[in-house]
Amino acid sequence: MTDRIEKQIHLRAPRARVWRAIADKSEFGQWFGVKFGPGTFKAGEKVNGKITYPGYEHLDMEIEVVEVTPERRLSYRWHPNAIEPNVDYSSEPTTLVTFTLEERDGGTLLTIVESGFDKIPLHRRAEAFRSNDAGWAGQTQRIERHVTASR
Amino acid sequence: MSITQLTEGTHVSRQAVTKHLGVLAGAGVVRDFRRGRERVWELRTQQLEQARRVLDRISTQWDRALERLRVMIEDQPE
Repeated sequence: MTDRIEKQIHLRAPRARVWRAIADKSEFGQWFGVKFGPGTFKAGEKVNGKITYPGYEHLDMEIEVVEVTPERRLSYRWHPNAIEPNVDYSSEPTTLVTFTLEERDGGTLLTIVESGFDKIPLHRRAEAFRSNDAGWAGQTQRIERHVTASR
Repeated sequence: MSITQLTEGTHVSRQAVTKHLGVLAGAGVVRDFRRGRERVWELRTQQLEQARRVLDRISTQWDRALERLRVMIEDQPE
């Protein structure tokens, strides 16, 4: 089993722009698919929002911001894919999501690490995923349409 | 497999093996049952596969979210 998921993406934008897309609640919500209140994330605060993802709109999302180091690093804890509305996940362990920004090749290298999966009973969530498959497939098509239409 | 079989050919004590199995059982990776007077452990491969599938799914969700991030940043560069 693997305890962590790591992703890297090179963005053709200055670090300040990428930072805003991560640290500003409304910009974060735009690409992540959640509606948070206004403002920027502050270390130590809990932030609640409504998922805006088609098929998941009935769900709330809560994160606990751990670290905010401007233009360098932002991290939060949450219950990954807590997608069954009738299940109370609050007693389960959380994962830590860390965004790290570095200047690279005239743009920004963004690294995302989500760790702590070893402590989470993931197999219990497999069933919930199957029932939500249709939602994800539909969302992908919507994005494709949106991207194509705006060109 | 029994504890005896699991410790054979290793330098690990029965107590240590039992402790590790307890942790794995808590995670749903193994489970035990009685066969006569013996306690037997089995690997729950289905659980492992399901956990693997969930991780793959979370990984895919990140890929898609990052692609949306890229589109957003490149559409609104300022």
